[in-house]
Amino acid sequence: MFRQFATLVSPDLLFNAHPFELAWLLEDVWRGHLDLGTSARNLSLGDPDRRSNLKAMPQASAPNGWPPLATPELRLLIDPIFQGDDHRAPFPRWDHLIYAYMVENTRLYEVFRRVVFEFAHGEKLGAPTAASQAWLRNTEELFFKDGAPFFITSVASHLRPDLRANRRNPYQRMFGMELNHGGEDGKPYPYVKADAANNDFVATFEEFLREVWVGMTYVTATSSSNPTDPAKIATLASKLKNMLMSRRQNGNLSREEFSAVTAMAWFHLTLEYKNNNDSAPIVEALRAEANGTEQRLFKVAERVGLPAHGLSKHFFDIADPISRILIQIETGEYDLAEAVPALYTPAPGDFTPEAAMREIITHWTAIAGRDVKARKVATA
Amino acid sequence: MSRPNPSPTRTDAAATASAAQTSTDNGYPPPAAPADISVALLQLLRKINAEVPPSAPLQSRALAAVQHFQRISADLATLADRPAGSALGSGPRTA
Repeated sequence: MFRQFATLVSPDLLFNAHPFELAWLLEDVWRGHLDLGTSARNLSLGDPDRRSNLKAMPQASAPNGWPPLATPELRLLIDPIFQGDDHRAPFPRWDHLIYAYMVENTRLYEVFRRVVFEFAHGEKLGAPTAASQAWLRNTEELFFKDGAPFFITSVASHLRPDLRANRRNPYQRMFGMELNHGGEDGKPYPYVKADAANNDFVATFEEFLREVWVGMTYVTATSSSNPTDPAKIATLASKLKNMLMSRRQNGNLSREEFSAVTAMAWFHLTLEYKNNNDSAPIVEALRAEANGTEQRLFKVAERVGLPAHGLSKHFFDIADPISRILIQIETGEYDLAEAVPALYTPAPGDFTPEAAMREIITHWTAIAGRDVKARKVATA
Repeated sequence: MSRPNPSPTRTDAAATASAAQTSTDNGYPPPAAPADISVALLQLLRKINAEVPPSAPLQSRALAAVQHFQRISADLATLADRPAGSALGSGPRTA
């Protein structure tokens, strides 16, 4: 979510805002998307356009009173909600949980945890610069402590006190996957595993990628037979949709998803910053300037002595397209074989499903270590 | 007995098929060299594929799927979706 905010205001404004303002912004996004939206009321709970029916904090009674958004530019982010445009929130959706899973696999949460820990406990990394103080405060307030009561993003409680375990649980339930790293001691991270989990997700998704790749390979073929099987791709997409939506029944896991996605987006934005190779204040404070999001992560990780994942670039690069494709799969659009060619046929425009699938296939092959471009070998 | 001699006006593929059928009937080897058969088969395959235009335009449902994906992408657009160094805060996103 914070990365989407940064398309409208400078990341500096976000980093320097009061944590309550940031928490409130998140409440307003939830409210704008779910509480006030009327056009999606007929959709089933859990649908990408109706993730939940839980309420955010009560709405302001007057535009200039409550909520506590004193920074005018931040108010611009949510003003449409207060101007009667209740059919379309300014940020009408958030990323899929898979985004958080992919980004967290870079180990950036653990790396920044170490950063905040060191700055909070001493001067091993030097004294934080004046410009990085606000980032440190906001990060600790929002992502390393229990959330304020009643906020939609506060998913920690006496029943589930560990924020890291609180993300691993939905990852396991939705994708049947664990993060690729355990605790700082290298041991598996303890968390509650659910019996109802999509353990077939990876196998089904890889089969889906493999079939789409066949389609891409033969979409322009003129001198051979075409083994593309749209019906099979549609069946696999439908299977993926059914398993994901089964976990989302009645809006289940939506708060956990929102909380995980916003946390990972905060750290992702910190590294990505303005997408022009400038560095965020905390990165400058750590003398971790470098070219590229993953290179900055490597340098921050080096400074705190906790290695990031070597394939971090692939995790960062796959996160956006896979999030968007899974959201669309959940709408059921690809259940129909007639829609499936969109996944492997080039189309005009900046963002196309074909381009997204191409990126996903490339990066998935790298991070999973299994070549989904290779043809399946039948065994007797 | 003279060996069958396909008419030069027939397609290579038809000639190959005809010759193969005749050779089975009378026990004679096929008249064409293997390379000729390959050429004929390739032409046959090209003819089959020519019926389906390459890069056929997306049909309505697929086109609708592309447009829906583009709306989802616009909803979730980040700085990473813009050219490096482009200005911040260039206005509200499109629906």
